[in-house]
Amino acid sequence: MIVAAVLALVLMVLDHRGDHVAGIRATLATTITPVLYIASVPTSLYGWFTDTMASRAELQRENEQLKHEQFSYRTQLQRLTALEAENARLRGLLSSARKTRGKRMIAEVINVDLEPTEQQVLINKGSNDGVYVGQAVLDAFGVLGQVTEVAASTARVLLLTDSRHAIPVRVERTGFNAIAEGTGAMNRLRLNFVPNTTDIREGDLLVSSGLGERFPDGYPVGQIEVIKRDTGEAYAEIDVVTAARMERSGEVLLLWPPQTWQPSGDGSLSVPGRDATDASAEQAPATAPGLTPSTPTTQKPANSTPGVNAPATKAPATTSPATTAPASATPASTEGAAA
Amino acid sequence: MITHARHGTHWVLLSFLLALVLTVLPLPSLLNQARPAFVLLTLIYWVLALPHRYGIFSAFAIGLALDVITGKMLGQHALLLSLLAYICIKQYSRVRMFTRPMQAAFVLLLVGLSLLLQLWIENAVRPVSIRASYWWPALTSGLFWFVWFPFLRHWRRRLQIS
Repeated sequence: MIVAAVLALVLMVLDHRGDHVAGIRATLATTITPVLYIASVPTSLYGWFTDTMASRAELQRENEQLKHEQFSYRTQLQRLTALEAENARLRGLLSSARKTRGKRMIAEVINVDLEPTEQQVLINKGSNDGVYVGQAVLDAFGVLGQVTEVAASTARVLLLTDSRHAIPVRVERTGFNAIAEGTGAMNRLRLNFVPNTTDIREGDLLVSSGLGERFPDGYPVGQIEVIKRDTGEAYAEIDVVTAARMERSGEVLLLWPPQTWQPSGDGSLSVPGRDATDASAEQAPATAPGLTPSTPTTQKPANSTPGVNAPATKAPATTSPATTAPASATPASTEGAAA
Repeated sequence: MITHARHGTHWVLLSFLLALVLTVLPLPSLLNQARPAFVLLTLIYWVLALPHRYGIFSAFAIGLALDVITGKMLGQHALLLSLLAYICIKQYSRVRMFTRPMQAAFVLLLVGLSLLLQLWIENAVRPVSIRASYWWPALTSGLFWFVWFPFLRHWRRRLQIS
């Protein structure tokens, strides 16, 4: 008994104090995997049964609906491609690391019940597929969690809502950074240490901020449901509903970090661009009097009109050149004449 | 004699595998909270029935399997199950004489003890919060003994595991 107890205690300490027994653990987990698959058989069988027995009309309807969905996603994807290209170009101008899309893989959740006190799921991809501990896992709607344990063909994913889990997030509307902690309840997170006076509203979308360098940034994490502001307290109590639908995620997406690279000729790329914008902003008022009278009808006034317009009429710089061009033609010409 | 003593080991292993499968079988959430501790029940039965063959180290091995399958700290269930096996080995001659309800009460106590110790261990590592439903498995395990004990006894007699 004493030998067993000591052995167990040693194992526990080793497991808790670091990854000393990760090898043993992974081997055991791999050996025990068939049990998990057997346990998931009834549910898979039920799923297979309902799929097989679905009526023709039902299938047709579903097919129709999926086609519609795919169409709308395709149209959105067109925009995304353009936006990604634009984003890459702008990042190049700022000489910051450009993000390429990393490797991804779809995994299925093995339908087994684990400890009711812990929020975790098993997926059917493991170290054979290159899954690693700490990897980010998404579902179709947002961030789901991270991998905490890897066996040969399965991996354990700790969900965002587990009380041991926290994820750095950003309020999408304001850019405010916070940390969302799991509550242990299904689909519920909590924002901690957000001052009462912060500009934050119910319904705000939270996206991953990528500050912990574990989750990629910009993926939806949740939405703020309730904010309780108690004037006696320094921090507001903020409840969040996760974007990921944890009660029914059948398929999840594994992400690998994208390859980041620094553009090599960053200095030559970015400086002319910045110079050009600076020049148009600063030099326009000075050169405008000389420029505008000479070329009143070509497209050049459209470029210089904001510059001309700002000192003359104090109009906001956001007015579009097309609308201001005719209006500013007269003040510009009068100013030009006055000069 | 030795060959006879090892008769039916694979059936015992199979019963433990069945218990492990039942431990992770998907159930509706209410039933999931009240899921009996199948592995503990099976272990208690085999230690009471065949104390000369199944003891602390079998319990330790099963506990490791349970740790891995539930994703707990490695060694946690191993410790708990070895302790249960130890208690059962010390008391088996007495418990065998118990009536069925008394045995069920004994099982309830053992499972409750293991839940309590598990809570202590986990609390020592990190603070955990539990609800009243945390204790339900002890109750349902006690009740399930009335089903599980005849089932395993039938299994043992039919297959002549001794």
